[in-house]
Amino acid sequence: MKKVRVAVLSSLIAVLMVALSLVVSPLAFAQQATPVPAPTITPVPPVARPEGSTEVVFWYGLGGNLGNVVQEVVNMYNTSQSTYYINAVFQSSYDDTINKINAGLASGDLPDLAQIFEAGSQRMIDSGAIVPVQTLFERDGMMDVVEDMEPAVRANYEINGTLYSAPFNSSTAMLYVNRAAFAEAGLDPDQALVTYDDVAEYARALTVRDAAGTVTRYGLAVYAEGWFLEQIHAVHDAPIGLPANGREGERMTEYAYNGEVGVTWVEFLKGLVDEGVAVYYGPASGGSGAAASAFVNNQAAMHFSSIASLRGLVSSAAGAGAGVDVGTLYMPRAEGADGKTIVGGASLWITNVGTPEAQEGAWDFIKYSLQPEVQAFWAANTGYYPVVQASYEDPVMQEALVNFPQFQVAIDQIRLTDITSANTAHVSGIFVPYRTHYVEAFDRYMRGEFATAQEALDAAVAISNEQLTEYNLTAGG
Amino acid sequence: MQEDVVSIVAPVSAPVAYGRQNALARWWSRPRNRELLMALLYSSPALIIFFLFTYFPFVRAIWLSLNITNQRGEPAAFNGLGYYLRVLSLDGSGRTDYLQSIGTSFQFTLMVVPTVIIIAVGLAVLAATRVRGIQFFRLIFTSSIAISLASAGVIWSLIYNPSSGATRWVVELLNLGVPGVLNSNLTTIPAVAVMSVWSALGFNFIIALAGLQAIPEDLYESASIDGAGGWHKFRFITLPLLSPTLLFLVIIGTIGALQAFTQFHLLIPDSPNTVFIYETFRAFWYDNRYGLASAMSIIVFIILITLTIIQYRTLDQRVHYQ
Repeated sequence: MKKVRVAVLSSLIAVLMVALSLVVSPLAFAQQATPVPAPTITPVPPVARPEGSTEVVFWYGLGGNLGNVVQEVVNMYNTSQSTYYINAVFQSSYDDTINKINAGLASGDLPDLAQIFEAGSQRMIDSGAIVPVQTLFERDGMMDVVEDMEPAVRANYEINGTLYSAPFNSSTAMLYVNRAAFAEAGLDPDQALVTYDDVAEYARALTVRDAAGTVTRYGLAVYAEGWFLEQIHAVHDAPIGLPANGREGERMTEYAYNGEVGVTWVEFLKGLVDEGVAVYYGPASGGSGAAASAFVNNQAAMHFSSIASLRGLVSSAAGAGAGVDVGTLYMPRAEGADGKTIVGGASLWITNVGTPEAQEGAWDFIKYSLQPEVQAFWAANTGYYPVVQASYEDPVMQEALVNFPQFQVAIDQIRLTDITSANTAHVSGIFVPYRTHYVEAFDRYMRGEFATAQEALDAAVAISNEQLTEYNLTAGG
Repeated sequence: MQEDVVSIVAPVSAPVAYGRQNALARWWSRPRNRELLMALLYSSPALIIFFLFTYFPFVRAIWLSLNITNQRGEPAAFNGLGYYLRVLSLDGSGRTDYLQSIGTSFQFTLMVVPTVIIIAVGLAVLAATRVRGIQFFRLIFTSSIAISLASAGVIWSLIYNPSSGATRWVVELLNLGVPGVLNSNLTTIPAVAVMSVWSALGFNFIIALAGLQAIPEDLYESASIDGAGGWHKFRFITLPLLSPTLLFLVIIGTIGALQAFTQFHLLIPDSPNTVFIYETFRAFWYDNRYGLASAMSIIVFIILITLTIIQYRTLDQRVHYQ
């Protein structure tokens, strides 16, 4: 009997060892790898609400450092006057903010003011629950502020002649490059306008293999992201949706991103991955984080991201200590294309569900947020560029441009060409879902489930249009 | 009693109003009916809650599933069985995306349920032996029950993260050619299944251990006297007497695995290969197609109830109750 017990006990210990190793090994490995040191971000606390002030509930979707700057701007406003009090409530992401608003339309739980990205514009307009800010600009005789807005920014939020929401934070997509790696490989990191061929050539030159042939640094980090598909269509001045991106009076009735522009873009990325000079990190949320981490740790020399990530990438690269010098280029394009990119970021929407006082409070905060010095403070501390041009005369902004010349590349990029409906964000009731359909098809193509990019995009367009037709049917368009 | 007499005599020529009042009185006079009313009264708190939060939403989901909804989630256009046909790929579009996710759900369930039960029973057999310090091991085997799926999902997303390198050996062993196990079709669902097995182990272990401890010791003693070895005792005593427990675990496990959501939300929120429940959530939360999502949830309901009935019918015949 004793023998049996010993056997049982030893097998128990074996099981325990296996279980333990499962827990311990990731930690051991984690020490070997050099992940980005998580910046310790302590949330900025809100200031106290003064007695007798009108509360304005404000939903915003920016987290981390960006979210902190939002709270700082809100605090500055709240201390600047005592009539209104902005209660800023973080909603975890842009996507969750619009999804929560969509759900709130049914339940009646809506804020007085919301920060929504351009993907939510059509739904906000159709909701019937908003006050177009243009009526307030006109009422208060403040159209000069609208006139002073960055033209591309104004065009983005002015839909069929009406400015529905007030731009707050504006960005655009960039190709981030490691300038140190470029110098090493004898490439020019200052030539901002690059073609697909240029980027392919760079990727080959920047890929580094060790003696065993294993890649230690890829030329380019790739992840599935719908926003870049929109940017690529813009630089080629091709509408992603017909007619005219939904911007010329008629509601958009179909998606058309399975044309040459979309197919070339997706094939370009897949080709580099297949060639072994780019690495694919998967779909949007997880993929972008992994790609950014690879970029700042010098495991990938080029990376696509928003200009709003500039400050974060610069400080992460410094923290990682892998010698990465962050630079920015325009989004790559086919030979001969010289178009501007689309304005990203978000705008502020006033809802009509609150009391008239709360609506006035929301409007008052918008007026404050558009003051040149507030926009300069906002831009200098984040990575967004100012939405009003007067901010460029502010010393804070001028200093930021000197310290971070990468900003200027983004500003130049959105001013590259004249504004057309094709290089302005499209307007569609299924903007957020279309992105997931594209990301899914892109991911399936990268996983080898689709033989060609054309098949993948055809499938995504088909399901997007199925849903768009349904939406337009119920939205009465 | 007097009321009874009146009711028997009166109806013949009574006016309508009188007759109705009379019928009511007659109904009330029966003790069974009065008990029924009292029963309803006492159970009304539970009934109201069930009605509001279960039956009403269920009926509403059926109605919504037949309609295209507007932004506010109200039915806007009648769609008949359109969404059901779309999901089951019977609408002639040839699109099988949702049907595939139903397949993935079953694949995931087949990976998780048998694995977790086999490991749990194995561990329970080990932990049922009476040796010193066994409580310590019982505690360890149970520990995953104390970790919520959300926390477990965060832990495992770290383990599977390409930059942590913990699963790099799997990527290299299988020559996946992608950064992490969650990026390859070959390993995405198995990786989520491994995490789910780990997470469900504690609960299954406790139930299996309790089942084992309920088996009378004398059966084993008499089997030993008859010369039965360890395997024979397990095969002919433990397994048959544990079968009610196993049936319970299989049914609960199957329902749980087919309804699994959290781990998919945390580990592979954007993956094209995911389970039907997650597709339902996407249809609701990302696509705002409340009608479609309702149809999908009704389909889940039908699948679950059918499966449970089949499992119960077929497996119950093989279960030995003491």
